[in-house]
Amino acid sequence: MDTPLAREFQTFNALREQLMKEHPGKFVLIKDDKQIGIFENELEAIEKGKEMFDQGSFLVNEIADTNDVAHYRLVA
Amino acid sequence: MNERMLSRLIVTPIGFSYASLLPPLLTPQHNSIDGTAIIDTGATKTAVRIDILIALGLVPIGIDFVNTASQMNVATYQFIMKLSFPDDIVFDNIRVNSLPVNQPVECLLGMDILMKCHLEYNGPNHECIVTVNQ
Repeated sequence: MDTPLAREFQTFNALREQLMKEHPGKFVLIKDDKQIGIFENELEAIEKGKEMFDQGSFLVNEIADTNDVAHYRLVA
Repeated sequence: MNERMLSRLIVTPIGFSYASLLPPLLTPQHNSIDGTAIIDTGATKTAVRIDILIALGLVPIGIDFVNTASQMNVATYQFIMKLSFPDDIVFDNIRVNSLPVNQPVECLLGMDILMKCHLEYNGPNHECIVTVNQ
C-alpha cells in the first residue's frame, strides 16, 4: 500500500494484541513497520515523532482493542 | 459565544489553523481559514472538511474509521490542528477526523470538544450559549 500511513496502520494492527496486553490506553508511535515508543499521552508521542521523523510519515494511535469508530449522522 | 441557529441546525463561526505542536509541513495556501461549524451532538468526534486541512498544509497523524448516514466503517485520516471560536475560545493540538469535500459546512463540532463545554439551549428563543472553562 502506498497511501500515507497505510504501512504504519498495518503495523499497528499487527502489534495491537500485544500492545493491548502491555499498554492499554496509552499511545504508540509507529514509523514504517517499527514501534518507536509508548507514551502516556498523544502530545508526547507526536513531539517525539516530530523530533525523529518527517511529518506525515509517522502514526500516533491510542492503544485500544478495537478501532474507535466515529459516528456522523449528518454526513451522507 | 452566542451561536446562530440556521434552519434546524446550531452553527458557530470557527477559525482553522495549524496546531502549535505541529506547524504545517507543506507550504500552506493559508495560515488560517474562517468557516462555519455545526454543533453536532450526534458526532462522536470533531471533523473538518479535507479541503480546509489541505489548504492549511497539514499532514495526517493517524487513521480512524467512521460511520455515516450511508456508509459504515470508512477509513479516514486524522490531523492535529487548532480551532478558534468567538470570545477567544481556543482548542489547540486537537485531533480531528477529515470530512469529504461535499459537505455543507466546514466542520462538525463533535462530542469530544462539546464534552469540555457548557451548553445552554433555548429553543423558543432560537438561542444556544456555549461557554468553556479553560
